[in-house]
Amino acid sequence: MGTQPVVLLAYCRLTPRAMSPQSVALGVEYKIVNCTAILNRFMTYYQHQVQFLHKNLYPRDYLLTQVIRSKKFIDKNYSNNISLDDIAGEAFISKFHFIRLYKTYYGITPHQHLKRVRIAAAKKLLSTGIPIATTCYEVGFESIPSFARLFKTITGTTPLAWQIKPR
Amino acid sequence: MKVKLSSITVTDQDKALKFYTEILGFIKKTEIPMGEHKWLTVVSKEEQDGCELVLEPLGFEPAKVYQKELFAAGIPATAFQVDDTQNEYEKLLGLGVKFSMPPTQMGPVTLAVFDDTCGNNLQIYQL
Repeated sequence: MGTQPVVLLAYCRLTPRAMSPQSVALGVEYKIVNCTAILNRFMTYYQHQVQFLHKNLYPRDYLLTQVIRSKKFIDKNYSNNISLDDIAGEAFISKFHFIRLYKTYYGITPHQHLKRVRIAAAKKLLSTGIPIATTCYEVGFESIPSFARLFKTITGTTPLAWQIKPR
Repeated sequence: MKVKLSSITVTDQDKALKFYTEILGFIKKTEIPMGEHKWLTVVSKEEQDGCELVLEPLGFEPAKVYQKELFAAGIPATAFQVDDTQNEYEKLLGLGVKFSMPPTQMGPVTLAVFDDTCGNNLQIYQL
């Protein structure tokens, strides 16, 4: 037995039924092992922590997937007139449950994220010299005063000051 | 008061500058000789007026111990945001970068960890 080769089969890949007749004839000893246990031994401390946090803080994968999908919807459609119903609809979850979940995962509400994405896009447009009014409507705002007010709140400066700032 | 600097200790400033510019794509912002070492910073191409990353020399003995232990545990010294972790991972792999953690999901974030060749693990993450 000591001189016979031992083949470790990944638990998820092969079973004894998949062994070839030649292997059986050679008397090769097969051991079925759990490949997850083997891989865990080679993981760093940090990998273990990441795995632990993911499993314990985000146990419901299907909900996480839905909320991520809705965030991508915001990132893609921020310049359109999108509502909370549109965003929550992407997640197939009720509106209020959706807001609560979103805040749990991202630390901010979907509306706060939408505002940030719009202002980030506005900064880029203003840097290229596009007029303030045009920028405002391009990124999805409907009113220049509310755009300017929000821009100042988030960046600490006015759209005009941002635009003329030397770079 | 503004946050304009972040720093990371490196075992070799010249080697680090090469890695952070030629491999990671950062741009050198400031280089000022200061005796044996230098004040050396890089910035992101996408945010050249943004936060500067100081590539600090590893002159303080306790810092060497800290860096070594952090590295051995696979813990990243800092993290950089990317648009797509998988794409960035494949690009860096093609440039010869060694990853200790391939793209992995942790809640809403997808992250990966690699070796900066100067004593640190670095993390890229996508929100």
